[in-house]
Amino acid sequence: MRGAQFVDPKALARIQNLELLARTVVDGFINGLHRAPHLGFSLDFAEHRGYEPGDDLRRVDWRVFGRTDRFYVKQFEADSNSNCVVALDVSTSMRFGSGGITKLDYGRYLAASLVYFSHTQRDRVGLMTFDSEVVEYVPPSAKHLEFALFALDRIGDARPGSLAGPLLRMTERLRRRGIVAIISDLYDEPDAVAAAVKPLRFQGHDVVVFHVLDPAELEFPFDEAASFQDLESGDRMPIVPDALRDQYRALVRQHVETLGRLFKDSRIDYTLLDTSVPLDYALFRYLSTRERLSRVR
Amino acid sequence: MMWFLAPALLAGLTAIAIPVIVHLVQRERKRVVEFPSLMFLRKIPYRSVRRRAIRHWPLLLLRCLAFALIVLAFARPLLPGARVQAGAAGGGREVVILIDRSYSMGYGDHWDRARAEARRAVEALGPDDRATVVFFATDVEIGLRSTPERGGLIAPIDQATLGSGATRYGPALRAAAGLLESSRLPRREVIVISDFQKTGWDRAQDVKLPAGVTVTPVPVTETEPANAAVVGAAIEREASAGRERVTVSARIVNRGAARIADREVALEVDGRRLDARRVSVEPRAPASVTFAPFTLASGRARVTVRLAPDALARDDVFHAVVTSGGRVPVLVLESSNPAPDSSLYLARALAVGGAPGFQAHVLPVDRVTPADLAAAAVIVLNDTRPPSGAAGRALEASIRGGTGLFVALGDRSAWPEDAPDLLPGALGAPADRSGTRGGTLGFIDYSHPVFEIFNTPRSGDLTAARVFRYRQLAASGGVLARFDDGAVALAERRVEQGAVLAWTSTVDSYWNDLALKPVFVPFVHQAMKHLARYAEPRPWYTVGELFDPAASVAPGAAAAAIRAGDLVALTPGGKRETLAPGEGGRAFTLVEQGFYEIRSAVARAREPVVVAVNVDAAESDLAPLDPAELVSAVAGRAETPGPAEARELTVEEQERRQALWWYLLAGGLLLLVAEIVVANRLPRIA
Repeated sequence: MRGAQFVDPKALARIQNLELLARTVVDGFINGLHRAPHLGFSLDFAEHRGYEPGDDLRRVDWRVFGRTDRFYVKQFEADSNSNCVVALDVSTSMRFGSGGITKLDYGRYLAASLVYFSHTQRDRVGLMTFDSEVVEYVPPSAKHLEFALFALDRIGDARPGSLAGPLLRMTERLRRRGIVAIISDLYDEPDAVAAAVKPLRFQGHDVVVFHVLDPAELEFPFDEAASFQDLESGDRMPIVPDALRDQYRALVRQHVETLGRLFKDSRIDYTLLDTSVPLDYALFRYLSTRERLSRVR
Repeated sequence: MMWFLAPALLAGLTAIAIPVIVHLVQRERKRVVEFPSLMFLRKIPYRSVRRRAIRHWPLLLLRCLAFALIVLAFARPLLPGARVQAGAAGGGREVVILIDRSYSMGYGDHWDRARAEARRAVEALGPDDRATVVFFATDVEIGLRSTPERGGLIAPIDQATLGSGATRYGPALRAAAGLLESSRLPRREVIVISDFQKTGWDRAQDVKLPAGVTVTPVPVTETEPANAAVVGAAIEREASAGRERVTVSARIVNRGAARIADREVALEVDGRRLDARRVSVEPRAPASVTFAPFTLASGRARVTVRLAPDALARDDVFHAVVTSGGRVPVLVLESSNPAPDSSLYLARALAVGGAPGFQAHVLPVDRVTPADLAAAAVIVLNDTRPPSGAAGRALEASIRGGTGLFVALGDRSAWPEDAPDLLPGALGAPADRSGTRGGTLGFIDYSHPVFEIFNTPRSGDLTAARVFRYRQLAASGGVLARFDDGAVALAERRVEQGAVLAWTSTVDSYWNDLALKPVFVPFVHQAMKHLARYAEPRPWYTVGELFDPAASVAPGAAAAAIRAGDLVALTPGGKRETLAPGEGGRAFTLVEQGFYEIRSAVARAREPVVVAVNVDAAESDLAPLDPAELVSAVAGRAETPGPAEARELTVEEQERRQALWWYLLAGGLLLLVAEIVVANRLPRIA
């Protein structure tokens, strides 16, 4: 299988011990681990409702009719498959890496893991790579795992990135509600980021945002004065890191906190991932959070 | 104000802009760090970044200063204030005037010219200068050591006389180096006044003058010197009617480029002119002249070959001493009732041979007198006891004084307890080997002078002799030969100045047949020569050689006289020198050409020892050496003589003397090293 090298077997081994519990019921009728967002045919009884003209006579509960002499129809809580679409930011800023692995590679591994894992859960998987525009779009389908991995494998040249446009396109294309995972370094103002992501949520998708950053972006460990060049715009700036480090860290911290708050307000899951942290650990941490949240709910 | 030898290089001072640019511009551009986004950095006020563009002022100053010093060094600066007269600026001179007084300087007017040049050098001395006058030939003599007084320096030059030695530049230059090293004056110079003969300079000599010493050669030479010399003589002896006839042949060499035609060469013996011949010699070729033979009237004759003098007269004379063969007096003492012919073979063996001859005197041991013993160079105790009484004491004294003793042990040999302790070991009983057809010599120490001549093959087989009886001798050391049964055959013992050889069998034909073998005569001769410490007298010596009277005189009465007491040497120039025994014995250096006479200060009546001394023949070769070669070899460069008076130094010389560039360059490099250290530490400090 082309692209399978992105899937870390160790990460998958740990993830398969968890269940991804959906917060909301989605459409779908295929048995799976996810709780369907809509009620439908299934083996698990949900409730009775009164017969209405047009209902299938096979669904009438005759035992209840015998006791009450009224027609009731049985409804079942059906497990279903859902759409799982991963949106991966492939812009220039994602090509940065200080410790041997770039943010883009880290995002690829993460996207591949999610896609593959969802596939094993019989979900329909899809993928979108984007920078300032949609670079590649794989529509969600139970048969599109290979296409998704292939798309991850052939990410092309770098261009400056932007969230709003591509995510709007994605919102327009995803008719069926599902899970949308956004992997990006979110280099934009928090309000703009939130504004770009919210439409997906408003359409009923379960949105998970993975904020991927390099350790150097978090800690700013440089010690020698140098000219810093923006990877996306090409602008240069003389920097004496020793003098700026504290202010920089404070700004990053403030940025992350603002994003977290805004996403939380919109009921969007937000996780900050550091590329120095092993991938399986990052996945495990996220899925544990999801599991814990579903239990609370 | 500072001057520069290469002011154009000061344009390099613009290089100071480099560190400034590095600090202002390169600081930002030299390293580019790619960063995902400057979004956060742009939010930080830019002022806090910009104001640190130049923040390491000490580093900037270090770099600028280092560049400035290096550029200044390359511009070769000098201080014009120091550009003054050389005489005053250089300070006083230490001058060593080396004057060659080898006998070759006697050629023509060379010696007078040399002294005139020396005087001129002394007169050229400045008020701050000091000078030393050194005369050299084979040896070195300091006329006057380091003085500024011109009068004092002129006096030894005027009084100097020509020597008889050969030119040797090495010792003279070493002496000059020693004198200059001890001087504190800033300028040092060696003036060499010589005829610069090739023979005087050995290129293998490692003579180096101290750094900064100027060598000024003053040659006094001819372009084509013509010279002939008597460089040697061959003396042939011939016995005639009991006397010796001597034929002298002289070897004459023409060193010049012109042919010598019909020049007279004469032979003088004991001051009398006996013969004269005419000789013609081709250029740079030798010739030989043989004179008519003469009869050696006494035991010794002084021979002089005299060539008609030319420009260099010293080497036209050649001296030699012709000594008659010489006889070593051997006193043979035998028993009062000796065996028949007990001394026959020994006496016959001593009677043959010429160089040296032996004069054997056979006496019964009980009739010997102390006078007999004193006159002998070697005493032989032939199958008898040592003499007793006064003669016994005289024997011991003679042996301890240097006389040799040969003891042949036989039936009649005995060594009483009151006899002097001279034997190499205790005497034992006779051993009889006649039952086993006799024994032979089994071990011989061929390295000993007695057996040395038998060392080579077919030079005589000592083991051919059969020994039937011998006396046992318990010699612990000094065994020179043993019989095949291990018993001592010949043993030696040193007794103070003298030596004792003990042969444990007889020297007749009763106990062994050695006397009948061909090796007997050379064996006896070698033993006697060894015991008498005989050395062939040399007919002549060369100036500069060391002469030891005690070692060079023929044995006998004269030798005994020489060994005792002070000696007086009469030099060819008529000077008397007392030779007292010292650490080096009475040896002295022969410094004059001619005949030396050495007499005993005590026994004046005795005939003196005469030594002929000639000049070194090699010195007669006047082929010149290029003075520049000598100068470059000892000083490392060929210097031309510079006037001692004041001279204005050129700018280049001033700059070379001051050598300011060196300090500036060193300072610049040190600053660069400091810059590296500071630059490496700065990021950590920040």
